[in-house]
Amino acid sequence: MTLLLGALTIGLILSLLALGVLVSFRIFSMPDITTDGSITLGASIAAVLLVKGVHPVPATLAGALGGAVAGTVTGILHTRFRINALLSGILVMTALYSVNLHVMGRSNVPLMQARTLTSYGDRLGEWMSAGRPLPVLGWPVAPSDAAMTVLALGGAALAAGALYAFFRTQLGTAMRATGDNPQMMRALGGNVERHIILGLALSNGFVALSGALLAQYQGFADAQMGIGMIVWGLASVIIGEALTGARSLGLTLVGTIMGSVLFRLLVAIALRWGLNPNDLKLVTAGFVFAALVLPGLLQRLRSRPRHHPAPAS
Amino acid sequence: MPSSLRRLTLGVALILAAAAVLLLSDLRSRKSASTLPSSPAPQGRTARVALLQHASQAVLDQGREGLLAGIREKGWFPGTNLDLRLFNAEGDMAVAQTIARQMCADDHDLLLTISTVSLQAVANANQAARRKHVFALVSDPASAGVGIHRDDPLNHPAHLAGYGTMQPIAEAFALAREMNPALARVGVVWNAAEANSEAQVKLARTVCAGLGIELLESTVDNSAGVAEAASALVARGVEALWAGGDVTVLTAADSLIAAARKGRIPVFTVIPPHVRRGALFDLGADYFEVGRLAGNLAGEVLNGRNPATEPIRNVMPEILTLNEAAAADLQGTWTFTPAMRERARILINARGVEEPRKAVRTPNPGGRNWRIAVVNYVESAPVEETLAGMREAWKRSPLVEGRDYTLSYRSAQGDMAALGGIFDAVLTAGADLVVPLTTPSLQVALQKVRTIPVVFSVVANPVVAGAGTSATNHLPMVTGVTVEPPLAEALQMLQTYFPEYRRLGTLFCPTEANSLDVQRAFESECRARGLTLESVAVNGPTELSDAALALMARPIDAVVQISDNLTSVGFNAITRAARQARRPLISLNSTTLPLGAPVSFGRDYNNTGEVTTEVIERVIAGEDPARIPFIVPPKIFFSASPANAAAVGMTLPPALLQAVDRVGP
Repeated sequence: MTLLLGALTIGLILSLLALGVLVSFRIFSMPDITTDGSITLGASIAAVLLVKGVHPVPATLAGALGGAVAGTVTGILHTRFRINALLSGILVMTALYSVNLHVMGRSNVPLMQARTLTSYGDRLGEWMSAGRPLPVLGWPVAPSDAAMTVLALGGAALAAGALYAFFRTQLGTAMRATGDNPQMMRALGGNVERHIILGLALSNGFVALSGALLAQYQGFADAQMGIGMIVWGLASVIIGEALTGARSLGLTLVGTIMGSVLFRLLVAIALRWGLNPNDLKLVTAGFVFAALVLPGLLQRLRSRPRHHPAPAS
Repeated sequence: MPSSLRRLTLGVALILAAAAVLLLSDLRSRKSASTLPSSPAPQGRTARVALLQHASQAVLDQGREGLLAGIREKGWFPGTNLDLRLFNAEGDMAVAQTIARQMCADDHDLLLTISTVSLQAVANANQAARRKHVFALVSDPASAGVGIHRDDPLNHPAHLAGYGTMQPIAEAFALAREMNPALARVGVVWNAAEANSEAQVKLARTVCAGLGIELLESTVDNSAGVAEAASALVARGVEALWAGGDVTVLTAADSLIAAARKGRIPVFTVIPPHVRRGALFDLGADYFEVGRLAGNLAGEVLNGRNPATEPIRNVMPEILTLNEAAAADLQGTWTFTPAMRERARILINARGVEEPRKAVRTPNPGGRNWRIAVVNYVESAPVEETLAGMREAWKRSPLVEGRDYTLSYRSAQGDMAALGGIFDAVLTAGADLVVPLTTPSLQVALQKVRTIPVVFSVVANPVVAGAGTSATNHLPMVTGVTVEPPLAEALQMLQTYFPEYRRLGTLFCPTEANSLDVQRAFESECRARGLTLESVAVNGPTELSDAALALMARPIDAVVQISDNLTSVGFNAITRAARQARRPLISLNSTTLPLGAPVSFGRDYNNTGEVTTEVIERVIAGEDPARIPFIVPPKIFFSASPANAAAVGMTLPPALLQAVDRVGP
């Protein structure tokens, strides 16, 4: 049960990362590599502020803001200096390594003694059950674990809701239209550059928020924690699309969160079954592959009987 | 809207299925939970525990101290989160019954008992309430009549768990015979009302029959009768008195020994330490240790472990204590062999002075199979060498794989988000000890692991990682091996053999955990010794060649390369640049001689692995991790290669070639 809750919590925290990737990758069709740096940036800023005794909520938001600034820089490099989108992401990600080291002052900041959002989770858990373990379906669950999962779920729902609401405003709709067809947007007199910058800022803000939360959940920020994160973000987005078929905005958002959670659950199963440690990455890649292929395969199997009479008529 | 809901069903179904699979592989912890509706977490809650001890007597007192120490080791502290009530029946059976009823009637989370009599009293009174009960210092739990079966250690009342400690009676008699080969008649005083004592006397009868020793018995009802019974035995011509784990007799041990001394015969026991009171030798259990093991079990039961699944085992951390002064004017000859003296935990010499002893340990006093989970963050050369060193040390260990320990290895392959899941999985699989390798792994362990020992390794600075405030003052369940680079020693070496190198240069990798910290430490160490350090940053493998060439162009006398992952892997590039520029090169990574380093001086990671295994052995042997300081592995591997030196135009002083551990080609 601890394992399940742990996987759910991590999945929900990283679903914010996936939502950020969704914005850049799906809405603006830009694979934005800034992600690897901005998740660490969010974690570093939040960690340093927390160690200085700043209240966890502003510290976390400051982390997210830092990510938004990084995204803005990528956007400016791409739009104002006409640098290829992939390359501007790589540039900012590379620069962020040094920035992160400067922010932290060293390669790793532990949060053992600091008051974090996790400590609020602990307190909430204690308040819920007076320190006794909660029985969930017969398993005893440490109340702080359960509270963390509930908090993470609330956070993910809030983020997805905010994103949904934003993309239905006039500005949000215009931004989505920019992603779909920049020529048309420009023809309509929209400021395409500004929309792209804003979109990347939004995307990296979410990514950094996820990093700030992850650092607080795992109890430290580390210069290397962002490596490969873009891949997991993309995997979650694509799994989410494969699951839902992704037609509407709302479905895509929910699908992305589900993709992230499902992905972490599958990793947890692989871990629980004690596979050969050298195969971890291979197995996770296998999961992503299966998640991508299976829904389509199921669809084809289901529709086959209906296809047969079609040529006859 | 319904159609979009339908689109979510596949995802929801898959998530539910995955969750179900996870929960199914976790059913074990659910079963234990259903029998333990109120398993508390150590924090935020006070556990109510009552302890019954049968009498005030050295052995039982030691057991109680051990028990309390063992509970503390599991995170339960009297006065803070443990409401502990201590009862003592002072040897009175009727009082024991009353106390036992009282303990069971009150709302206690756990009952503890010391001695067989207390076990029986509380087990009887507890038949209705079935409160969780952990016992210790019981010779033969199966013969106590509390529903414990001899053939099946798991067949016992679900609320009851503990350890049996059958005294080494056969060994004690054999030892007595070894000391005095003429020994033919031994006397014993015992109380027939004590089930424990009866079991031991029965065993002693068989043992004596086998050795051809005649066992003369005399029974007593209370401690007052012991002196008289012992004198009677002496009068019947016994050549030694033996005392088993009989509480009545041991309470009057002084009168037993006095009676023996009057008849100039020795007393030997299976209950240490009676040598200080004049017994010749004791061969028995370390009752503090027995109590401590039971205390660990009790703490884990408070943490949620299910007593029903605990096998009732025999634990016997053996100690031998000797008193040479007591052999002074005995009838017959009693000789102490050097092997005995070597083994003795307490040795009182012929002058009656106690000699200091070094601790002798049983390698795995609990007798359980420790599930050791090694969790690595990312594959690297130091980690692999450390693992190899650990394997070597396990081969030499008295512990046997499969019986004393089972090793498992997991790696996050550099994915920090997966580390938490790995620790969750390790804990769910029921690990008894975790070994995090590298700093991120330790930090996640500090978050996730609360109740089992953590022995870390390949961590440069555990204090920075949050494991404590110093090497000796650290978190109670955490200890391990630090791999702080030997910078001061390296500069000492440099100034001894190469005093002419005043301006040093190194590459470092600011993006790599620890490389930056080491570079800074090295810089200040150089400054303290009046040397200057030029550092060039490298951010990735592709920059390495250029950075190495840039470093050679700086005004330096020699390159002294600090050890980090990037420059260790790409050391060839540094060698090439040094050879082109004819610049002396000293590597602070012990493994770089084959990569062209003329001199290498660094932490021996093999040795790090060996020391890690030694720390794990100490924890398994029962040492409290809180009291094991963080250890820096002592070995430094110093090697040199004249051929590599010639290639960079460097001459190695003969004194250096004398001093190194290995001279390469």
